[in-house]
Parts: sequence; structure tokens; C-alpha cells
Amino acid sequence: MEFRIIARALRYVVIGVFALWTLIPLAWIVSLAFKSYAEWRVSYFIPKNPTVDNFLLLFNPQELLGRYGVMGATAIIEPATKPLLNSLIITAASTVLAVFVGFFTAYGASRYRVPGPFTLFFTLLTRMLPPAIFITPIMVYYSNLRILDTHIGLIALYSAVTVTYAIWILKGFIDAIPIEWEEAAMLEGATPIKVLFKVVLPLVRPGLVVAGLFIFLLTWSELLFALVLTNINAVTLSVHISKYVGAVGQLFGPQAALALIGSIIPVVIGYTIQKHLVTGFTFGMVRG
Amino acid sequence: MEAEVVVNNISKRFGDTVAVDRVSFEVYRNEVFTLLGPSGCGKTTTLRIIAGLERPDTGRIYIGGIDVTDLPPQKRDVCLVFQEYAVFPHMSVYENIAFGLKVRKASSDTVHRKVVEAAETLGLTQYLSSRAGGISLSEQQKIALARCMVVEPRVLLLDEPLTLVDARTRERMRRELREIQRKIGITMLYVTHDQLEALMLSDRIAVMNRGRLVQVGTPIEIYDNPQNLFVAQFIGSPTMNFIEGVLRKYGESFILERDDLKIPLDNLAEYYDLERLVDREVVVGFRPEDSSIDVKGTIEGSIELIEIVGDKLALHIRVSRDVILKVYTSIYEDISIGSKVRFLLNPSKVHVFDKATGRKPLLIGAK
Repeated sequence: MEFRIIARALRYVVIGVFALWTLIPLAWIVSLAFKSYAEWRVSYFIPKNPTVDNFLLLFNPQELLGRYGVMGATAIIEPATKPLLNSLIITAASTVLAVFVGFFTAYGASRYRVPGPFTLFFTLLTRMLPPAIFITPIMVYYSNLRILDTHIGLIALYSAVTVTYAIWILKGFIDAIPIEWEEAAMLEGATPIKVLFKVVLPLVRPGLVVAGLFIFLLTWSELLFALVLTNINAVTLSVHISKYVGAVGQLFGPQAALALIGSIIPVVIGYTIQKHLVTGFTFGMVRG
Repeated sequence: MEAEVVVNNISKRFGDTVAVDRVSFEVYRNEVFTLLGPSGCGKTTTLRIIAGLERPDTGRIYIGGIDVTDLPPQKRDVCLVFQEYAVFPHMSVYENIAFGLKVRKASSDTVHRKVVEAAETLGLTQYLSSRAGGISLSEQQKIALARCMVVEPRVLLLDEPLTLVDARTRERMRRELREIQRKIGITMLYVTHDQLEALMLSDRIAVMNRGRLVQVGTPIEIYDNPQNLFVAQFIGSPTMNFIEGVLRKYGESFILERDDLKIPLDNLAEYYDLERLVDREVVVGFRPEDSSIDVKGTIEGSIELIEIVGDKLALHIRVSRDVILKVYTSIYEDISIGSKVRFLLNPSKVHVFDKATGRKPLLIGAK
């Protein structure tokens, strides 16, 4: 009896420590986002004079930087609107592209045998080296192609890197679809393209959602490549956060505010597609 | 009779195994033609070749007089009902049935009319708006049938459609399937391993074994006159009685000898040319219902077991050290375990096969 109580208590302690470990930085960001300049460096959570200045500054830096002392006076910051839009466009486009290409590749890999030494395993090669290794060659390529600091450049890179995940996630889903459904559709008169779009695609929809969400999150939070490959035009949210710097330090408040906005967007997206994720778990129980 | 499907000498290998070995047959218009055989006999592969889902290594397929061997499945004017995964789980029953018409871009009026019509024929009207994945297996098979019916194929192919349905429902569905087939008058090519199903449903049956076609005929021909030892063993429930032995000829009489057991086969010699089987190992077979207890019977044995089968008794009679035969009788007197009985065989229903080849001797008068 006592042993069970101790075991239970221990379990809560472990969970509690883990929760604190994860949640304190988050809470800190929330707190910091609402703190005024004077309170940034003090160690309490609840701001004494809560303010939304940090949020306003994101979108109207010129007028509000004056309120942030020397740091504000020495900082050169563009409004966050453009990076926000850039991130949405680049992430959405590369996610759609990766899932689209990944779907067809996965279908091919699942249903057809390709002769020769090239197998699907090779798509994992790009994942086996630290991404930093690719930065220099890609910069050179991009510079020659004149697509540095462009949307298309980032979209191409992100979708090329993440398509691997789409392929492997979707292959599992497609493998689980009995071939009989496709054959039945063919015999009822559907061409191979129609079989793909009317039978396979709807059946792997949960897989598309899972792959899409996963890739969206990866791309949304990507910093390294965006930092190197962008400058003014195609700056993404994660890069923009690093730009709140004055002569004597970082503008923690606006950084926290932007980080908060940047985290809320994936949460909202995840929440709205939740029901498709649930169908993902019930998939395969069609025979009742 | 017009041949709707002509299968001409098709073969198919998968690696080292020969799944289909030089099979040829014809399916006539509006008949139910069944490919019957144990699992792995090549019947499903044959069906899939006809449907266009597999390519034959050799041979040609003609459907409606057109060579379709090189055509993809959707251009062959056939439709296939599968053993399982009959319905698309992500669509309603209505959408399932409408699928074939929609991909062929039929007008929405036509789609609606045909779907409702097919649903009525098959008694599916009440399910039309339900999700197809959620309803019972037997109804799902009907949906699969409806899906094929609406596209009005020249030939309807069915691959063991009732195997997964429970026994009671299966019996009802067999009857319904036959009625529907008569009503809409469609050519059906049916694949099953269930001989009762084949005997009940078919106009003609093709029995397959190890990739080969062993006999084609009406259910009665297949049942009453198996041309081959395999067919004799496979068809019938209970199975035939078989006695293995050596055929001897003494003077003008033919005798099957096995140890101390001697069975005169003179009656059989009236039908078959037995000369060529003399001194060879043969198998004699007869069905339990084609024998009768009779004091003048030519075979004697002692009763080992008595089984009640409906209104008759099945007697398991030991006629020699290791041969027990099953004989039906409706005479109840003097029947008890251990007692000696004599019985007669109906000579026109006794079959003899060459043990080595499995073949029947030629009929007398045949070339």
C-alpha cells in the first residue's frame, strides 16, 4: 500500500519536473512579451505594468522604438509583417509541394518495382549529414542562379529536403491500402489517373495531413538556411526574431512577442486539422 | 450458343511455379460459368488474366469477339467482384455504386436512375446514404455487385465473393445471386473452391487442378461422370468411395483385386474398354448413394459404424483389412454394428480410373 503511494508520488514528481522543464521557457516568453522595457531583466513572472507595446512595436517599429531607451535608439528594424507573410507563403508552398511530390513518389515506390540499384532508401541520404555541410555549396549555386533571398529559392530548398519525410510517411499509408480497391476501380472504368485521385488520394488523406503537419512544423521553425540564404526580401519569421538587436543588447520584449505569435500559428493550424489526425488513427478499421 | 469469353491456351508463371498451364475454354452468353478447384489451382490467376490484372505469358483472351489480351482492364468491358475489400470505405453506398458511372462521365440523371435501379434489384435501397465501410459483409458484397451491375459489363467476374460471408447468409446469397443473374441476364464467370456453390450456381463448371483444366461440363456431368480421378475425389459431399487395386482378367471376367478382396467388374466392362487396364493399378470409385444393400450383392463386409443422414443411414462397411466403404440405405432391419451385409453397386455409376494417369478408360464404341 505504502509502496504504491510512493510509486505514485514519484511518478508525479517526474512528470512535474519534466513539465516545468518544458513549460518554464514558454511561460517566460509569455511573461516577457507583456513586460515593459524596465521589467525585462527582473526575475518575476507577472508583469507589474503589463503592456502591449512589444506587440505594437513589431508592426510599427519607427514610432515605438523611442520607448526602448538606448537600445531602441540604436536598433534598425523593419516591421514584422513582411517576415510573417514570407514565412506563411514559403512554409505553405514548400509543404504543399513536398507532400504533392512525396505522394506520387510514395505511390510509385509502393506499387511498382523499379529495377536497378536505386532504391527509396537513397532518399534518406540527404538526412545523413549535418545540414550545415550543404550551406556553402547551396549558397554558391543560389548565387549563380540568382535566387538568393527569394521565395522560390527557399521553397525549392525546403521542399527538396522535406520531401523525404513525405515519401516515408505516405508510403506507409499507401502500403496499407489493399490493391483490390484500385483494381476494382480500374475494372469499373477508371483510368490510372482517376484511380489515383478518386481512390488512393481520399484514402490516404489522413496520411497527407500527418505528413503535411510534420513538414509544416519543420519548415516553419527552420533557422539555419533561412539565415544564410535571405537578407531583405525573403526574410522569414525565425530570422526576423534575431534582428531585434540594438547597440548594447537584444530587444527581449519584442522578440518574445514575435516568438509568441510565431508559436500560436502552428498551434492554431494543428488544432483545426485535429479531426483529420483522428481519422488517421482509425484508418485500417474499415472492415468493422 | 455464342461465346462471350474465349480463353485460348493461356499460361502464366510466377517465378518457378506454373500458376496457369495451357488453359482454354469458352464462356457462352448469359450463362454462369464456374472455375472450380482447390486453392492454388490457378483459378483466380485465370480470372485476373481475363480481367486484365495479370498478363498471360502465352495465349490470347477474346471478349465479345475482340482480342483484349493487350488491353488494360478498363477497356475490356468486364467487371470484377472481389473476395474482400468490396467497397470503398471513404464513400457512401450511393457513391460506391455510382463510382463506375461517374468515372465514365455519365450524366447525373443516368447515374441516379441506374444507382436507384440497381439498389432496388439488390435490396440495398435502405442503405444508400450510409457509409459503406460500416455495413455487414454480405451487404458489402451486394454493393460490389451493384457497382458492377451499373456499368453493364459484357461479363461479370466474381472471385470467391461469398467466402467471407457466414454459412447461413452464404446459402441465401447463392440463391439470390442466381435469381439476380436470371433477372438481368448477364454472363457470369465465377471462381470458387466450394463445390456445393459451384454445383448450385453454375450452368457449366470447369474444374481446375495445378494450373490445368481437368474437366468442363454441366454440374450433372461433373457430378455423375467425372472424367478424371481428381474430379471424382474433389466433387461430392460426402466424397466417393475409392478402392485401389489391380485389374485382372480371368477368362472373360474382369476382377479388381486387392489383398483378399475381389470385386467383379463385369458390369463395368459393358460400358468401358477395360482391356488396356488389365494388370495395371486402378482406382474404382462410387458414390454412397449409388450402392444398395442387397442379399445378392457382390461385395460383403461387416458394419463398423452407423451414421444417421436425414432419412437414411450411412453404413461404414469394412470390406477388407484396410478398406472401409460408405453405403446409404433406408432399410433398417438387420442393421447393427458388427453384422455382415452384402451390397450391390449401380453399374452405370461406378467409375474406374488408371491410378498412374488418373484417366478414365474410353467408353466402348468411342475412338
